[in-house]
Amino acid sequence: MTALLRKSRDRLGRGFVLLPPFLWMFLFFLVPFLFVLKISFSEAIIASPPFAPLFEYDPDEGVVRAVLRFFNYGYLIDDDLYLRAYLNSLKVAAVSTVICLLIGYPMALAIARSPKARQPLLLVLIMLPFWTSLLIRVYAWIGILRQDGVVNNILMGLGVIDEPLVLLQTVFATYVGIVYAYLPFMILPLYAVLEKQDTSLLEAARDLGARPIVTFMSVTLPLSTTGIIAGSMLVFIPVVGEFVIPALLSGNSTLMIGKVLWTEFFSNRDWPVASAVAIVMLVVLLIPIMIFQNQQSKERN
Amino acid sequence: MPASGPAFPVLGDTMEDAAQQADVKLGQPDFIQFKDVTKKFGDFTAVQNVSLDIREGEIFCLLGGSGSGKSTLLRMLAGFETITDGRIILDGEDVAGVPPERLPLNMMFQSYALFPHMSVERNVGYGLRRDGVPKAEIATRVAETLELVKLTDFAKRKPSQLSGGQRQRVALARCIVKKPKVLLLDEPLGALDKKLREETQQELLNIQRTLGLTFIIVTHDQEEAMTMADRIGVMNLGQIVQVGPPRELYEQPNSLFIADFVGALNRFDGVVTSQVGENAQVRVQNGMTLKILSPYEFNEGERVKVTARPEKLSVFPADSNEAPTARNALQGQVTFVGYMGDQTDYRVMLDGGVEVKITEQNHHMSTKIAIRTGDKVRVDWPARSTALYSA
Amino acid sequence: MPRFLKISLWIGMAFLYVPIFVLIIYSFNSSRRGSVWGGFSTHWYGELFRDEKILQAAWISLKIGVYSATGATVLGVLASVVLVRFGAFKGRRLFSSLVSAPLVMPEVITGISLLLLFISAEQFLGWPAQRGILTITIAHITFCTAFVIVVVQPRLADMDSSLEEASRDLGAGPATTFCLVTLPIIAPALMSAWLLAFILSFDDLVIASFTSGPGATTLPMLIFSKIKIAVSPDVNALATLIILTVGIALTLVMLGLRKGRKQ
Repeated sequence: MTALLRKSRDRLGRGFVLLPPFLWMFLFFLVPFLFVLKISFSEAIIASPPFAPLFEYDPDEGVVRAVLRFFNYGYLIDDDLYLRAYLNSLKVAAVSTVICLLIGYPMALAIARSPKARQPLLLVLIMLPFWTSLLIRVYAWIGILRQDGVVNNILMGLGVIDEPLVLLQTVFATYVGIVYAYLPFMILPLYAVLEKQDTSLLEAARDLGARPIVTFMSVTLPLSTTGIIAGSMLVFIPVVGEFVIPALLSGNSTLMIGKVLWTEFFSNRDWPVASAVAIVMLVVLLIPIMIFQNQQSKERN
Repeated sequence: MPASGPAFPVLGDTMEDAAQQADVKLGQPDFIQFKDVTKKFGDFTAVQNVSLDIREGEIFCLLGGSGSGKSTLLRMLAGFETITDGRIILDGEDVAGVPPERLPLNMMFQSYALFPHMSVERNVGYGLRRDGVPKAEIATRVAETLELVKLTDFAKRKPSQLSGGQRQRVALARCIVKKPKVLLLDEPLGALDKKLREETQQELLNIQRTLGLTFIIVTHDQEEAMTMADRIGVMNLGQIVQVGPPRELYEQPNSLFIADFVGALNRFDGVVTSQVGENAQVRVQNGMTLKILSPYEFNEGERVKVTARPEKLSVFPADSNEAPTARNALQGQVTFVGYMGDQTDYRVMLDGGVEVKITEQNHHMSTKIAIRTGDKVRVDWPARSTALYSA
Repeated sequence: MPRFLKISLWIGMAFLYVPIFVLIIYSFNSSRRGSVWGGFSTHWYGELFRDEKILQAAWISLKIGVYSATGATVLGVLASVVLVRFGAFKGRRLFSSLVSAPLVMPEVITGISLLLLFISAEQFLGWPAQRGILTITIAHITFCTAFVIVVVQPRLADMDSSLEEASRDLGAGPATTFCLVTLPIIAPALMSAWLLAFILSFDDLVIASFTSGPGATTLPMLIFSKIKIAVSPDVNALATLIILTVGIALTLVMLGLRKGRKQ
């Protein structure tokens, strides 16, 4: 009897720990998607809130009727702006991810191979920009890239160019901004796996006749795939829906779906279309998100 | 044991025979030469002026505590550490500046350093692939080597699916498949439990003899060094303190440090009261006088340390009448009896106020207890089993 | 270490820091045209403190940051305990996914979904009557919790669990053990997790824009509306202040962490 009591008390304790975060995330992260789904089948009207109710009470027949309107999704297909925006976002995200990987991998490796005592400092230096406002850091690039900005001033001062280059509001600016903002997200997971790598594995490879570059390709690289995947997903997924960077640096040069969604929502006040855009984005990102989740749960076990 | 390497003399039936065979094939006496080797890490001197010759085909053990510099010495030979001063010559060639991948020796790492993303087979074949050995030859050599270490059935497994002993054998296979001249083993048995360790020691010795390899083993375990080594070099504070066969180190240590490091010891502080030829008399704490045979000459009145190993001492009941001459015979009381099965450990408080450890083999099958805690006893040992060191 | 690695590290660091230094330098520029150097001046800092709107937005962001960081730290610690100590249980995968998905979820999606939730809740339940500090805080707690877990979970996993067992063995209940043994040991991680959550909340533009209502303009929302139109030197000054504050706070936390490790 007491054993049973103790068991149920134990259960209660566990529930007390488990339920608050679970319920919170369930209510404020999972459930909201249902509402996005619901509104995506609605119709924009001029009202507050600006969408038609999905369920209508019919007083004549005394029933509640649900009206699902698929035309928001039809609209996404009809107007090729959306398709182009999705494809371009995926392209920008993929290219940015590769660039981040190419820049971030040597940096992460350099930190992991630094003396143990110096590693925390280097890590803090990598994280520090990440801890300061993204908005401010992107804004800093405006001052650097614009017509009378730092880069043009220096280049003209040196006499390299006569006319200021158009740097801001270009695809180039978009990539600079994205790589700049997301680089730490690539470096940190890469560092985490590289730092854990047993250095005796590298020595063993050398001892068995592998030159340094071969050692890297046959040992270091394959053993860091989990970090590469985690870092790539941490960059790729949010960049697909990125809003701030294209809004500030791209001008009309780069069409991205996050900005489209924002415009539909805030400028056009078409919430149902914005919802449909979000739902499709979520579907597109489902596979990368699942890859990321898989990686995370593997790491946690 | 199937041999994959060149043909070597067939192994004898007994260990003695095998050892003699091994002696015969010992080659070049200065196969590996350390000449005045020093290694500094910043201000810290890890290895100091080590000079050492290692014969081709011998098993040499570097024995020392942690921080003694033994691993650093090994890593310099393997090309993983630069040499601050001095030279290391391997088979006539200076190893300085040669990257580890080009040195004709292989190392078995303490952690085994098996590549976790490769199967056993791919781990073993790794070094051959690096050397550009043809695929078919790699396959045969890997298969032969796996058979030699009895891992044929595990070829497709990942290291994480193996036991500690199996991993150790994969690490060994990965080295010997390359037919190196020298195999460096960093604490090769450190991660294994006691029983497995004894078996593995035998396997390692067999493989060493079959392939005619030179082994350099780094270990902190003196028992391991004693059983495996042809010669042992004891290191302390970055220096080699004594080099010699295990028997010499144990029975004729050149310093109190070695005596203490290799095996257990009873120690007394004393003053030499007389020495006639090799027969010395030393008065130790609380007025006891010990008879000692020492080849070294001491002055009368000189302060000395006296040592005797516990297994050289015998313990008898106080009323026993066996009392050979030329022996030290002291009275005392038993304070501890530790029955270990094969042997029994005693501690006896001598009447002079000094406690000694005694180890006796349990020669007879008997459940009778002759000596118990609290018994008055006589502790007795030959004068020639006692050593003297200047204090 | 090969020279190539060293060089790429320092070039990468320069890439990360040059824009920030440029920003700081130009915040002391007396010229209104941001890029032309008109001499050293702290003029824009003065402007900043006379701007009612900025001060008010900063105050709102600060409040939301403190509430969100505190809430997210509590939830994040509980979730970390579940992930590290509860072992396998039914629904573990769902739980783990739920608490880590916000790490990568594009902000526009999180933002729009929470807004639609709040609006629907208002329609059906009459709550929340108005969107503002409360709704932003709820939204921020949701995505900050995931980051708190990233910081706290490994520390908890590294902790020697025999310390907790010893405490239980000596007669403390699970809750007492958690408060007297576990919490003090992971305190440095809690501190940095709280700070990270605070900064994420304090910096957020997108989610706040969606979940805010009239009368609750956060600092990033204000900055965004300013820089969308033109470069404004007072934003340089504001940015510099934010960077310095964060830098000092981080240094303090790092010192705290180091001290914690030494003990």
